[in-house]
Formats: sequence, structure tokens, C-alpha cells
Amino acid sequence: MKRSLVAILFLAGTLLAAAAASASTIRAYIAEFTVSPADNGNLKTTLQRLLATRLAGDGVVTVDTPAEADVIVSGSYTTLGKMFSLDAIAKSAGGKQLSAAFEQGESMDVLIPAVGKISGKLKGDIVKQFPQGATALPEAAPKAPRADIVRPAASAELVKAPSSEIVRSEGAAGWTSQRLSGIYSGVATWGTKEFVTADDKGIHLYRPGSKLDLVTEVALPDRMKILALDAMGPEANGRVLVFVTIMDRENISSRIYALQNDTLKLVAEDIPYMFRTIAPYGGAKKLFAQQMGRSDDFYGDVYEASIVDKGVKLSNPIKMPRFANIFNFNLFRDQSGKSYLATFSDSGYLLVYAADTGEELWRSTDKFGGSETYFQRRDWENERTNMTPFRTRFLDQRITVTDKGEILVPQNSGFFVLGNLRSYSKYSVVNFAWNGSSLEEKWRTKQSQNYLADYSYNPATKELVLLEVAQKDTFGGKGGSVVRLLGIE
Amino acid sequence: MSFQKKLLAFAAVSALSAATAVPAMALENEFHGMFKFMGYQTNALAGGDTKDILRKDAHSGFFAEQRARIMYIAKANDNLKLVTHFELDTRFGGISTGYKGTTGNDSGNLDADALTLETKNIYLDFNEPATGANFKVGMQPWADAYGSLFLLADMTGAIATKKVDAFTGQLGWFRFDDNTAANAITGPGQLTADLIVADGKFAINKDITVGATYYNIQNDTGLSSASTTAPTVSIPNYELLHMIGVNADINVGPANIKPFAAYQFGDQNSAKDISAYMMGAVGKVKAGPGAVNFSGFYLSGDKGGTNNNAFQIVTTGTTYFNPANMWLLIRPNQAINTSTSLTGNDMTVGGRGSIGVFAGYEGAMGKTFYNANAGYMRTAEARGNEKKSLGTEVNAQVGYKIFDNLSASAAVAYVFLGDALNGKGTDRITTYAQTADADNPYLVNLQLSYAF
Repeated sequence: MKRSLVAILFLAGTLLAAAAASASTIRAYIAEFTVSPADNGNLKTTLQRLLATRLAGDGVVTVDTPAEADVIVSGSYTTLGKMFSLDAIAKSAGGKQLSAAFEQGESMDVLIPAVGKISGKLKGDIVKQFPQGATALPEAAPKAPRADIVRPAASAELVKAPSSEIVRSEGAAGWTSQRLSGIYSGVATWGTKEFVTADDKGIHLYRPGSKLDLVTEVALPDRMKILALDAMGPEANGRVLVFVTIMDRENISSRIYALQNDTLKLVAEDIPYMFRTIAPYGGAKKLFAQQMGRSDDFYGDVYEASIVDKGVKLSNPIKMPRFANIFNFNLFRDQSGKSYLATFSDSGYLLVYAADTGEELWRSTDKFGGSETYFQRRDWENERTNMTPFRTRFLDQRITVTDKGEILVPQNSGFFVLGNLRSYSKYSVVNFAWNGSSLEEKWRTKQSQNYLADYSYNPATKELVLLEVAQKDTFGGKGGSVVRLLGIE
Repeated sequence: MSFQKKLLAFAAVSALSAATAVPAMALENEFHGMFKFMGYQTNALAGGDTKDILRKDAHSGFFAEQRARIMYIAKANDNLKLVTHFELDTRFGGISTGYKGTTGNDSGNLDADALTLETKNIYLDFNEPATGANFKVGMQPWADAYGSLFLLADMTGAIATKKVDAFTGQLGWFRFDDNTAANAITGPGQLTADLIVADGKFAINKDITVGATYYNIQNDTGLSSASTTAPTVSIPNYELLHMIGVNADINVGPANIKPFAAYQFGDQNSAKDISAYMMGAVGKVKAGPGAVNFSGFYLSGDKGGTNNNAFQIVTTGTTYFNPANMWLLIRPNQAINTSTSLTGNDMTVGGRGSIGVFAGYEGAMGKTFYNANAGYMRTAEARGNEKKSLGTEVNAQVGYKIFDNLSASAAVAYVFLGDALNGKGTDRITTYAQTADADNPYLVNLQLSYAF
């Protein structure tokens, strides 16, 4: 009995001592640093680690998550010209600023001393200003010692994660249409609010308002499959030319429509060219054309095209490197004016080629692009390999170069099987900038739980028109699509 | 032989350099597959592929079969992949005496559980970085440029393909038979049959591609050897064959035409030469909502004499003419396990040669697709009292795409037999017409097809 009493008293004493110790310790969380303009050499985590080791001590301990912290320290490393600036702010879990500090210097040699100086100032301020009472435990502990009960401080329940922890949702700023019946595959814009879309029935002109209004539409014969949809204009008289790349019984048989006064009028048909409008180098939008060969699906070079007397005039050929074709390429320049060609490989990797030599310079680690749009051609010779009389060729997503010279690509994912059955289930749009040696991701849109069939970027309004398939074709169902308008600046 | 050795050595070095020159990347797994169910009500087939039943009072009945194919590709990067391809064939109810490559039953029996996996292809496919040429080394599919009238088969070998602007050249070597016993003391490669392929294609413009080919078969499988057992009948039934040919692929207005012609020469044996030829065309013309298909061929036949004038193939089981769109006259391109024809897939009709003309119409309305075809075949040469006409087939098929990759269809086919197959006496070709006055063959086919 006496032994038990001694043991209980000993345990109670130990726990009380632990409680007292915790009351005098300030738990600090160091968030990952933001680094601009570019994170060379993994500075984000290096700076985070350096500050954590220097801040610890003298009553401050560092913790791994913001949820268990009393103090949250966020910092940034900025270079402008040759100078760098290291800035850090310490806030209480309730959001009250406790300390701010900065150091600047000219070379990396003084970066580590700067971290030391900042940590010293932060530590001093935190210890001095941190409201000890906020987490201090009551000294009298008549019941179970508080240390046994993990109970976050009132302020800790409202922990505000540092901004770098939050993936901002652009969805709030966007506009989403009502559900459109059917599976749409293509969308094209020309700088105004209206846009045309394509599905397996034909093309449809929509105007967004409070909801998406169908203005006019054109039906195509059943045997035709729309591969791509593009638009150029408006011309001085307000006319917009809509280019519909069509596969008709294994041959390209494209059409051009003129859109004027909300009416689509057929201008030319049975054109043996595939069309795509691209704004190379982020400049003016141009029309391009490529042919389909007997043995090559994409025959010869891609040409700049213009429409003259209902005919197609070709000029300025661009030689396509491996994997590139009219539907999946774009051109951009670096600051020195050197020209590059971006495309997707057959496997879905984003590639950058030197435009002059065709040399591959970079390829992404992750897969980007991805489309369920395909065409089929009879291929007797390889029937045993392909297991069908047809060869299936999937197209890929547009690559957009913005007026800043940055690259926009969609990233469809959620691919559940390879082979000729493709099914994507979610996507983001990702923005890249070329840093001289590689494409560096700058931002991405919040992931949507739909497949992105096509998109169009309007440089005038800095807006993306995103054509999503909300419901795939199911037995007896038509499926459904949605159009989202999303400002990206 | 030295050429073959050099080719192999080059391929091996290229494979190694390709494997080491590329940066290490995660292996990508790519799967393709196919499943087909076929149900037949017919008086011409019984679930097997030797030949059609051609007899008087032929019984009609129902049988069903299925085939699955699984293709796994281990892709190291865009320039290097290993392709493997397997097949599983079963007749409903099972066959226990070996069927389509299996040695025991085909798992269609009660409680299934039999070993039925067949290996179709295993080959390395890589681009050699220095030359940019593509190599395929191993057990792989190969098809001729003549509608597969000569050879379409899975074979072990190596083939190199190089594209230079509009020209695509191909050099290949296949060893499709080697009867040398394992560990034979006479040394390797004594009883072999090899195919050498040289193929060139030139795209004059987007609408016209022309090609020329040279195929060479050296067949030593029938040679005698002191320590090995040579087959009594060597396959193919000739020692040396050269085949030179030209082909084209032309778009003219709404029509696409693929004409081809080839000449064969060589030695059937030390006493008899081969001098044979073939020609044909495959075409498609857009018409209405669909397209008109037409095709035809001529294979020279042998009347007897100093030279053998019959068009030579490798085996009847490795010839096809899919553009015909026939079900009975010529084996159908849709066929799975039961894949045969009135002449047991022998379009040379036992060396008599043949002429075939075929036409049809195909189209689609939304998810429904349809086609209807007619074709006529006769022998090029008659032997003895035999007649030439083999028959005229009419067929039609209607299908529905349940999903993008799953379709269901129904087809009917009927053949009005010609005198050579339904004759009453010596006027019929007894190799194929098992009795006199054979009934006209027909079939009804129900199909479920899934491919990805």
C-alpha cells in the first residue's frame, strides 16, 4: 500500500514537472520558404531547415506541423539583380504578428550568416512577446494532469496555415455553364465572348450569359468525325472563319464556315487539309495546315495557310521534329530570342526541341496533355499486330504560348488503362516558363474531376474557355459536357 | 550466312548501345487486349480450321468459340520496348485432342482449368540512336506487301527499318524453320528455312506511294543429314525462291487504289524451276454515306511441264486476302479459331492458280454499321476433267457499337458452289469437295468483339 502511494506520488510529480516544462516551451513551426524568381538548388527546404535548427533553443522548440504550433514562422527569399533579400515573419497561432526580420546581401556566401541573424532576432522577439498565459496550464491540477489530455489551445483550433500551404482554388473566380447534353470534343474562340463547340453531330455556336445560350448550329453527316475545331477573325466586316477538320471515311475532308450575324455559312468543303490556329511565340494567331498521306498520318511539313478564292494557299513551312504534328505543337522564344518548339511525345511527355536544329533539349517527368479524340485508318498489313483492321491514332491537346512567352498545357490524368481505350477522369491546366534549360512550373489550376476535351485561350481577356466532359457515354445515355470560363490573371 | 551473322551482330550491338545510351527512366507498362465471341449456325464448319465441309446432305449445327489476346509492352522509353503477345483459344464445350496450339484440352470442358496460353510474339523494338533506324528483333508479325497472298505470319527474325525523308527502306531476315536437332554434332543451322526481305517505299506526294520488294526464301529443311532426321516433305515445297514485285497506294479523287504485281523464280528442286506470277488490286471508293470496296487477284497456275508455273506460298495457313470481305470463299478477316475457306485457305488451289473478284458496300449510321459483299472465284488452270468455277458468295453483316470498343454483330453468308466443287464425277476437285453433288455451304455468325 505504501509502495503504491509512493509510486502514485512519484508519477504525479513527474507529470506535473512535465506539464510545468511544457508551459514554458514555445512550439514554433517553420513554413517552407517562398523563393523567387526560381528555386535553384532546392532553397525552399534548405532555408526552412537552416532556420529551424537556429531557432530551436532558449525555450523554443520546432514542430513538424502548423496544427501543433504556437508560433508560425514564414519566410521568403527574393533575388533582384545581384542582391538577395531574406525576409521572415513570426505570427502567433491566432494570427498576431510577433516579429519581423530581414537581411540582405550580394552573394550566397552571406546567406547562412543572414539566416543566423534573422533567427536570433526572431527568437528574441518570440520569447519576449509570446503570450505565455495563452497555453500555460493551471498550476493547480486536482484531477488528471493536463499533460495526459491532448487539448489544443483555443487559439490553435483556428490555426491559419501559411499561404504556401494552401492551393488556391481558381474555381471561385470562374464561370460554369449548365450541363450540355452530349459529349463535346472541340472548342474554338476568337476574342469575343461567343465560342463554337463540336460534338459527333456537328458544330454549335454558344453565347454565355446568365447561362449558356445556343445561338446557332450546323449538323454534319453521320459518317463525318470532327477531329479539330479552330476559328480566325473577326475580319473588318465582322466575319469569323471557322475551320472544321473532318475525317470522312478515312480521308481528310475539312470544311470552312463563315460566321456572320449569328449565322454559320458553308464557305468551302472537302478540303484535304487538317487545320489548326496557333499563336506562335505568343503573338498574333495564325492558321496552319498539314496534309494526311497514304502511309503517314501527318504528311510532310506544317505550313502557314491562308484562304484565297475558297482555296488554301500555303507558305512558310515548319519542319516537325519527332512526335510533333499540326495539332500538338507551338513555338516560343527565350530572352535571347532563341526559338524553341514544344510538343507532346506519343507517351504524353512534354518535350522542348531547339527549333532550328530539331534537337531534343528537355522532356518532362510527368505526363501532360492527353486526349480521347482519335481517328482510325484501315491497316490490313498490321491487322495481326493491332488486333483490328484499323490503326488508331490519338490526337493531343493544344499547347498555348502566352504573350509573356509562357506555356499553357492541360494535364488530363486518371488514365485507367493503356492501349486503344482511353479514359481520363480529371485535369488541371499548368503554366510553365522556360528558364533556359527546362520548363519550370509556375502555377496550375485546381484539379477538376472531369476530362478536359479541349480548351481555348483568349489573350485579350486572359481567360481560358475549358470544355469539360462531365459524364462519359454510358449505355443508353448521351453523356454530358460543361463549359468553364476561367480568368488566369 | 555471313550476311545473317553480321545482321545479328549489328542488332545485338545496337540493342546494347540503345539500352545504355538512354537515361534511366521508370518502366512504363502498356496493355492491349482483345476478346471475341463467335457463334455459328452452319453446314460448312465444325470448329477447326482444316477446310470447309463440302458434301451432299451436309448437316447443319451450332457451335461457339472464343479467343482472347493479351499484349503487354514493357516500355523503357520512346526508343526501346519489349513487346509480348499471348493468345487463348477455346471452343465452347472443349476439345481434348489439342487445338490451336494447345496440347491438351482447350479449357472449354467442364470445370475449365486447362493450360491454354499460346505465345504469339516476343520481340525487342528499338531505335538505334546513331543511325535513327528502327530494329525489331525476335518473334514478331510480318506481312507481305501483296495483300498477304504470299505470307502473313508470326516468325522469329530481325528487321531494320529506316526512313529518309519520303523513302522508307526495310531489310529483314526471318528463320521460320530449323529442323536441326538440339545439340546436333553436325553443327547448327543445317536444316533451316530462311526468308530475306528487302522492301522500299517512296511517297511521291501525299496521294501516291510506290513500293518495290524483293523476297528470298532459302529452304534447306529437306536436306539429308547423317545425324538428324530431315522431314520427308519439306515445307515449303521448294528449295529456292526469289520474288520481286512492285506495289502502289494511290488516291484519285474519291477513290483509293492499291495495285500490286510480283514475279517468282527459283528452284523447286534440282530438276525443276519455278516461274510464276501474281497480280491484284484493292480499292475503295466513297459513295453515298459509305464506301464501295472492290478487290481482285490473279495467281498463276501450273499446267505441268519443265517449269512449275504455280504461284508459290510458304504454307496455306499463312496466307490471307482480307480485302475480299468473304466468309466462306476466302477466310474472313474477322475469323478467330475457326479460320478456313472452301479450299482450306489454299488460294493457289493446289497449284492450279486462281482468279478472284470481290465487291461490296460498307457504311455506318450512328452506332450501327453494316456491309454487304459478293465475290466469285475460279481456278486459273484446270487439271484433267476438272471444271474451273469454285463458287460465288454473297454475304451481309449488321452490327452495333455498344461502347466505343465493344461491338455486337450478326452476319449471314451463302455460297453458290461452282462446278469444280459440286460436280457429280471427275469434274470436281476431290481435294475439297468430299462427295459428289455437295450442298451449297452457308453460315450465320453472331459475334461479340471487344478490343483495347
